Amino acid sequence: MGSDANTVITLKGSVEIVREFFGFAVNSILFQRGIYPPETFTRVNKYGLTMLVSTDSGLLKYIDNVMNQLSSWLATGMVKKLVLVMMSMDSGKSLERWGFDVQTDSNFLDGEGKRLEGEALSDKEIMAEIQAIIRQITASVTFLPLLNDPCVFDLLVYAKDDVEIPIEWEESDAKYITNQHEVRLRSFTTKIHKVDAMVSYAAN
Amino acid sequence: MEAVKELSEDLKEAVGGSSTSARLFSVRAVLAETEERYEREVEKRRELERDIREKEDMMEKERRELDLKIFKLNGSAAVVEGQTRELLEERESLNTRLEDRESRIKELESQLRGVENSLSTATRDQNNRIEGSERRRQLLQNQLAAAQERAANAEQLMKQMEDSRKQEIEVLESHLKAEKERRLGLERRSSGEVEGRRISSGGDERVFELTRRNAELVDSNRRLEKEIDLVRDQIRAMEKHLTSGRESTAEVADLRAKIDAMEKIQSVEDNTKEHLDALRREKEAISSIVEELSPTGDREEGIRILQSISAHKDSTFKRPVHANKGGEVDSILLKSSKLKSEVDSLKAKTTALESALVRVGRRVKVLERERAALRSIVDAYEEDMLSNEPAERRSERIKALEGSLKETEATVKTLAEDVARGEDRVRELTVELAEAQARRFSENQESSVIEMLRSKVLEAVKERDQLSEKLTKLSNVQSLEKETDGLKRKVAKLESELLAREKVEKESEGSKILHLKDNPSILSKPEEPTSERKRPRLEQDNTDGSSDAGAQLKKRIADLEAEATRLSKEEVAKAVTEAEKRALRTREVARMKIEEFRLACYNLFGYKMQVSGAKYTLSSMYADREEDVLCFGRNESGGMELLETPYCARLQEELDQFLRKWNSIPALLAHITSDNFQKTTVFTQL
Repeated sequence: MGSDANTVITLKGSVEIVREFFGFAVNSILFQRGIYPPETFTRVNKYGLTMLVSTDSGLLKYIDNVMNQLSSWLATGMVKKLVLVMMSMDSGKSLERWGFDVQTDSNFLDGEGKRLEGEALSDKEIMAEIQAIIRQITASVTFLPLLNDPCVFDLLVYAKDDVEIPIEWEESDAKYITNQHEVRLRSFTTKIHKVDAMVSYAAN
Repeated sequence: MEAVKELSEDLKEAVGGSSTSARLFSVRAVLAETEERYEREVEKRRELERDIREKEDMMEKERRELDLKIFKLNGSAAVVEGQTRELLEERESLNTRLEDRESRIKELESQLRGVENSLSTATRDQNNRIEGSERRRQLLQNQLAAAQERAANAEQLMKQMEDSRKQEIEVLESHLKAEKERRLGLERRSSGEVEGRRISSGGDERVFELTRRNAELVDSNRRLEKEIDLVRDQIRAMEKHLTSGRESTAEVADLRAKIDAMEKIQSVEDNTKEHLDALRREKEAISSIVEELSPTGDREEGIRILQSISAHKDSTFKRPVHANKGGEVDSILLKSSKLKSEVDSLKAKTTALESALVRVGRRVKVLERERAALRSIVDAYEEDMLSNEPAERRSERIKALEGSLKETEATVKTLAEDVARGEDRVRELTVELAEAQARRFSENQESSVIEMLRSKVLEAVKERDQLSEKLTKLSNVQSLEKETDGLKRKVAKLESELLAREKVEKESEGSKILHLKDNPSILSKPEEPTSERKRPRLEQDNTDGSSDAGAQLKKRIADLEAEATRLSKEEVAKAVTEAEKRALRTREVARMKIEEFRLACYNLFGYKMQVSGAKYTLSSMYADREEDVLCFGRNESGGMELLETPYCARLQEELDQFLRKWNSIPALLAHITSDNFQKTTVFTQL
């Protein structure tokens, strides 16, 4: 965690919290939606919950790469949104979109090592918010349609126009869902970054 | 309670006995008796209950019957109420009809008066005319008879004159012959001068006398011929008179026909009068009923009472009654308006007829004047005949008479035509009058109610048809509504999709959507790659001179190497082998696919394509030689353009036509294919 005191937070610490959340959220979604076999997941205690994290080295490496890049972009306020898209392997049609809107406080982007004191939330408070979102993600399995077809996933990052695209990265289409239903989930904030979660899925 | 008392008494009697066993026995006996009694009582009670139930059932039945009776009575009361309503409506309709009839009667009376007046005047005029024409006919017949007599006398005279003239001519001819013979004898005997001179002088005198007499006879003969001509003319004139007399008889016949028509009209009038009388009688009856309503026998008061009753009833029955009444009143008003219009048209026709009759009367007067003039002329002619007027004057008069006769004939013809027209009009009017009367008569009868009902039924049927049409339209409308609903739903769907897209577009506005190239989720399933992933792989493995693909591969290798620096040796080796394997496999698959694709293109389009950099070389399936190839390259705008080859020199015409003129490479290729194909087929046929 990036905060050593209960009421103090830095940009770096906030980025770390967000990155960690994204990693666990992606793992959790991939487990819940059965994109990867359940035996490839292991249990980890996090946020006061038992989280499932993949043991697939390729997947872990991929997520790690994405999160590394995402961290650097989060630190510069380039990220607007992270989207986890589930697509049908046969048709390539988008079936589910897990969106995480990111809002960054621009005041913290200029000065390096700037601290937010007093107003900042405590670790527990942030954890509780993240816990609530993770619980919602787990619970959303109940209303989301079953994914009968074999699916693949992709992580899309909505970055600002002036972002430098690394060689490993490329531009992609939005992969939006035609005739979609949308469900807003809870959000959490570190007072520097605010993350709003939502899920949209193809209506029958 | 009584049974319990009895039981206690029995028990007392039993207890009061000698021994306990006997007492017990007696108690048992008493108990048995009491049980029997109890059972009997129970049975009685059951019977009573049964009776009560039966009575209750009976009562229920009676109650139901009474309910039914009440229901029936209510129904009959409703029917009676309806009947009373109908009667009231009928009474109201009768009142309105009565008023209408009174007004109609008044109108008809006034019309009848007018018609009677006109008819009386017309009949008087007609009678006068007939009398005058009959008198004239008799006079003309008399004149004709006198003229015929005169003609017969004149013919006799002519015959006598001709006979006397012939006799004289014969005498003169015999004298002339005798004189000629004498002259010849004297000429023969002209030997002596004295005797000869004497004889010649005497003969000359005689010849002179004879010639003079002959001239006189010729003159008289001429005069007689003239007279005969005059007499013949007179006869002709008389004959013409006679024919005109016959025409006058025809006129008389026409007039008689007119009289008949007028008589028919009069009979129709009589009928109408009778109807009027009937209506008056009805009116009187209704007025008497109305008078009876009032205690004093005043008619106006009775009407007021009737109106008040009807108003009261209206207020009680309210709308439905009003609606029915209004409908009937409307229908009656419509009919009355129709009748009024008919009466107006009849009035107009009668006025037209009267004016025509007036015109006919004027013409008849003119004719009469002419007839009088003719009569005077005939009289003068007779007088002339009697006074032996000269033949020339007579002939002049006859000519004048002939002229006047022609004129009169022309006027008579025009008159006859007018009369015929008038008669036609009269017939039409009579027919119309009869129809109108028949209508009125039928209205007066009760059968008109049935007709009205029939018409109402017809109207109801029409309404039903209209409603069924409306229903069909409505069903169509419903189906259309369903369609529109479906379309609306579709539109709503599309709108929602559009909104979602807009939202996504908004989200992606001012931002770049990025993703990591190496997604293990996609790469780990190469057997079933998605369509979007197929394309870049094909591009990657198109290694037949594709420098871009090579560069990409080099980049990838460089990336891997860069990654390898960060990883351990074992991991690097593992990653390298995995990457090599993957690359080899993808290459193999891509080659196979590319070959398949090329073969399919060759078989489908007839061209084998080879790509080297940005140069595309096409060789036709039906080309004569292997050197006949077309080269295409990309131009600045990203389109394709033909590059110079030796084969192009032989295709100047085609190139001019398809590329320079129409700017179509596919058309050129198709033309070349078909051209080569035709050549090869010709060759094989030969």
